[in-house]
Amino acid sequence: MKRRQCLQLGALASLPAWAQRGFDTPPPPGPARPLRWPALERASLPNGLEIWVARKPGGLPLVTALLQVGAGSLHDPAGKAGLAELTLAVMAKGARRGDETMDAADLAYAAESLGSALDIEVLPDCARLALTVGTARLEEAVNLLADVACRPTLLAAELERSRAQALDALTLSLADAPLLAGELAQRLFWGETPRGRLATRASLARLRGDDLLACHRQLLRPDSSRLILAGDVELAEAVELAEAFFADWPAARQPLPALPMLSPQPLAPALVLDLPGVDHGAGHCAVLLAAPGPALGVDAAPAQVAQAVLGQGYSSRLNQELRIKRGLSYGSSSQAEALPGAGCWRLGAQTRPERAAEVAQLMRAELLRLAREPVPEAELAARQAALLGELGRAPDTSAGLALLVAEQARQGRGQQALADWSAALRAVRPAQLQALAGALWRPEALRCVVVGDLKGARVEEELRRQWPGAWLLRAQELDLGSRTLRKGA
Amino acid sequence: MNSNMGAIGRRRFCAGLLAVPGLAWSQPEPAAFPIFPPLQWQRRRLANGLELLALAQPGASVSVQLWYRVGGRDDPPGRSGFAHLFEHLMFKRTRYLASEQFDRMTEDVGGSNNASTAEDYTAYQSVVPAEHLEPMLWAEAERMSNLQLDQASFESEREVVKEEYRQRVLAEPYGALFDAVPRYGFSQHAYRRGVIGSIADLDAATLADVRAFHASYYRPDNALLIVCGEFDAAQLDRWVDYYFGSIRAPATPVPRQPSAEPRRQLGAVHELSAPQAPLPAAALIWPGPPAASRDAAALQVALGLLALGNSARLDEALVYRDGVASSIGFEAQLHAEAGLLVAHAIAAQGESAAGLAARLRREVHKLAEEPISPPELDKVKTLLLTAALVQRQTPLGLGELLGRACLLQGGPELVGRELQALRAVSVADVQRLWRRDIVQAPHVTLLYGRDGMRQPGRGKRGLT
Repeated sequence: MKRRQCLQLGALASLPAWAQRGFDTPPPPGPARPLRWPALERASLPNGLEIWVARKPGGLPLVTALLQVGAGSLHDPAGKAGLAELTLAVMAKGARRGDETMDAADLAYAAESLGSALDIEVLPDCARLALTVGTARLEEAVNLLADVACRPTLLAAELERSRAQALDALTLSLADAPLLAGELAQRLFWGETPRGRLATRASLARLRGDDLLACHRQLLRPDSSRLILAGDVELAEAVELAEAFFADWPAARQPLPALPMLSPQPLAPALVLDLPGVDHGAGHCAVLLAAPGPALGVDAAPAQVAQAVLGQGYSSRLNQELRIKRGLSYGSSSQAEALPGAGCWRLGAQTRPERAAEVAQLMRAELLRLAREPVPEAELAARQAALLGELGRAPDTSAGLALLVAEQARQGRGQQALADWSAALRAVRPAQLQALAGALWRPEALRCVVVGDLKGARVEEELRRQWPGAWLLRAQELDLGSRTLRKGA
Repeated sequence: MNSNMGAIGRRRFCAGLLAVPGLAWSQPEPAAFPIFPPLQWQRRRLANGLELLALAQPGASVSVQLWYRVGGRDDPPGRSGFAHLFEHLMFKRTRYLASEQFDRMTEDVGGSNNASTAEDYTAYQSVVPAEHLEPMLWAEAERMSNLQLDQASFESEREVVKEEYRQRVLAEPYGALFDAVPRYGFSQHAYRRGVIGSIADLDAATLADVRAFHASYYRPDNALLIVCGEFDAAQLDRWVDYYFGSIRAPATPVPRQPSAEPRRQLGAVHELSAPQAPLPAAALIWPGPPAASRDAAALQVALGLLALGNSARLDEALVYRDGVASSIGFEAQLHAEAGLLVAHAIAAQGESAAGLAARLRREVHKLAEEPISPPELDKVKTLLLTAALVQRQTPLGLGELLGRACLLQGGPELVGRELQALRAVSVADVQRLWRRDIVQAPHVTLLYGRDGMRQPGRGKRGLT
C-alpha cells in the first residue's frame, strides 16, 4: 500500500476531464472497433488445384505457403494404421526436379535455406505442408512444395528410417501419461472405426513401399488440394507461381476416394491404466473425458462457443472448477474434432491419483450442466468475446492467417468465410448451446480414461459409480491394437 | 519463372572440393536475407523510477507488459521457487481488483494474459483490443501497488504451482533431466537452484514471505513498462503518468544478493536414475557467457549450424544418418550474469546413455575443425533472421523482444545491434569461439536412463 493518497485526495479538481476519477474502479474502455478481416481471394488451375490468397497489407515481408492435400489418416486401410502419416514423412525425404534428385538431407537443407523447416501435419481428413519465408524466397518455397507433393521419390531406405523413427516415437508416447491418455480415449471412443484404429508396432511393421506409392497416387492430387498463400503476397503472383510449379501435376483419373462416415463404437465405458513409476514415483496421472461432438459441417458455431465455455482459456468452466476453486490441477485442456458423420470432444487435466476420480466427476458434471442450465448471458458474451478476440489476432502472423484460411477451406466455407464465421460465432444464443449439449451428452455417452502412476489408489472403483464396468489395466497388459486393449485377448 | 536447381540440393563444401581452386559447383545465389524495417520506440523514465518503453504497430490490439527485475535468482534462502509462486499470486486479489479480475479484463473482452518467471525477471504480458489500453494500465498499476492476498487463495494457488511442478518435472518423461541442468551446470551461482524450485520449499513459504517479497521487488524503480501495438502516444503518456506516476518508490534500495559463478576447472559425469524414461538420454553442459556477451551472435549461429532444423549437423549425423538418437537439441541458456550451453539427445532404441553422450560430444566438437561453407552459414542466418521477423509480427512478440533486450542485454538498442551482429558473423568467428569455449573447456555430462545407473544423481534437494 504505497500508493497515491495525495493525488486521490488533493488533486482531482485540477485534473483534466478524462482523469476525473480515483483509482478504486477501472476506467471504462474506449469505443469498440469493428474486426477487420483480410480479404480472401481464390483462383484455380485447369487440373483442379485451388489457390487461396490472404493478403496482409502493411505487414512485414513474410509469406506462409501452405499446401493442404487430401491425404488424411481416415483413409488408412484396415490393419495399416499410420500409412498417411508415414507417407507424408517419407515424401519429405526425397523428391525430383527435372532430371535431378534431392535426397532427404538435400531437401531439408533446401527448405531451411529459404527460412524455415518444412512443417508437416497429418489430420484425419487432410494433411498440410507449410513453409514460412521472407517474401523474396516465395518462388523457391512454392517450387519446393510442388517437388515434395508431386514428385516424391519414396525410397525404400527412407521408409525404413522413417519407420524406425515412428517406432521410437511410439515408445516415447507409451511413457507419457497425457499423450497416452489421449490415444486411449480415441481408441476407446471410436473403437474399430478408421479413427479408432491407432498406429501400433504391428501396423507400422506391415507398411510396404507399395502402400506408400498407392497412398500417394490415390490421395495426393490437384483436385483435392489447395495452395494457400498468406501474408505479403497478391493473387496475381500466387496464380503465376501455381502455374509455374503445379500446372503439370496431372489430374487424377480415378474418382476421389470418399472419406468414411463415422459413428462411435465405444469399446468400454471407462479405462484406468496403471503405469507404476512413470513419474519418478510422485504419483501423478492424466484424466480424460471423451464425449460425442457434432459432425463436420453441423452446428459448427454453437459447438465452438460451447467448447469455449467449457474448456478454452483460463476463464473456462473446467479451469474454474479444477484449478481456480480447488487447486486440483495446473490446468485443463479441451479439444474438439468434427469428422464426417460424427465428432469427438476431449476434456483433459492432470492431477494426483487420489483426486483423479473427483476430477473426472467434475468434468462430467460440467458437461451435463451445459445441457441442464442455460449459460448466463454475461458468461456467454465473455466467452464469445474471448473467442472472437483470438480469431481476430490469428491473422497477425502469416502462419496464423494461413492456418485460418486452411481451416475455412477444410470446412468447405467460401470467400466470405472469415467475416461469416465471426458473425456466426457472435450470433450464438444460450438456447442453442443447451440444445446442442442436450442432444449430445447423455451420461452413458461419456467415456473416461485415467492413465498414470496410481500409487495404489483404487481409481477404477471410484469411477465405477459413474462408469459401471470401467476396465483396469496394468502397463504390461496393454495392447493398443486389441479390442479389449489387452495382450493375447 | 524457372526453377534453379543450383540453389537447391547443395549442402556444404566438402573438404576435397575446397582444396581444388575453381572446382566448386555453380555458386548458389547469395542469400536474400529478409528485410527488417527499423523499430521506432520511445523511452522515458518517470520520477519514481518506472521506465516506459512504447513501440507503435498499427493494428487492432495492444500489448501491455510489466517486466520486473526479480526472478528465480532472487528466491529467498530456503524458498526456491518463490519468485515463480509469487507470479501466480499476482492474479489474486488487490485492494480494488477481485481475484482473477485480470481475466475478466483481458480474456472476457477479447484479449489474453500470461506471465512467466525466468532466472532474472518476471514478465506479465497482456494483449487487449486497443480500446482497452487504459483499463489495462490501471490494473497493472493497481497490482504493482496494492496486492492484498488472503491465506485461502495463497494456499489454493500454491497447490496449483505444486501441480505445475509435478506436471513439468515429474510427469514428463524427460522433465527431471532438464530440471537437473542448472543444478549440475552451475557450481555456485544462485541460478543453480532453477526457477521452479522444490515441493518442500514451496510448502515452507508463508503469507508473510509474500508480503515482504512484494514490498521488496514490486516497485516502480524495479520495473519496465512496455506498451506495443495500437495506441496514441500522447494519450499513453498521460495515462502512464496518471496511473503509475503516483506510486511511490520505497526509500530503501532494491535488495540484491550478489552471486557469481567461478570458472569451471574440471569436467564431471553424473548418472541420474530415471526408471520411467522409455529411452535413455544424455545432456552435455558447458559454461556459457552472460546474455549481453559480444559472443552471443556467433554462439547463436554455432547452435544453429548444429541444431536448428532437420538439416542441422547434429540432426543429420545422429538422428538421420546414424540413427543413434531419436531427437537432439542444443540451447544457450544465457542469463544476465552467467549462462550454460546445453546439448542434449534422446537415444534411439538400443543405444545407451553413455554411448549417446560420446557420439554427441564428438559431433559437437567437429564444428571447430570441419569446414563450414558460405551457403551453410547463410542457411543458418536465414533461419535465424526469418524467425526474428516472425516474432516481430505481433505486439506480444515485439514486447517480448524489447523486454529481453532491456533486462538481459542492457537496452532496446541491443535488438537492432544483435541483428547486425548476426549478419556479420563469419566462419572464423564461429570456429574460434568453438575451440575456446567448447573444445578446450571442461563440461558436465548427465546420463539419464533406467538401466545400469547408480542411485540417484538427483541431488540433495528432495523431490517428494
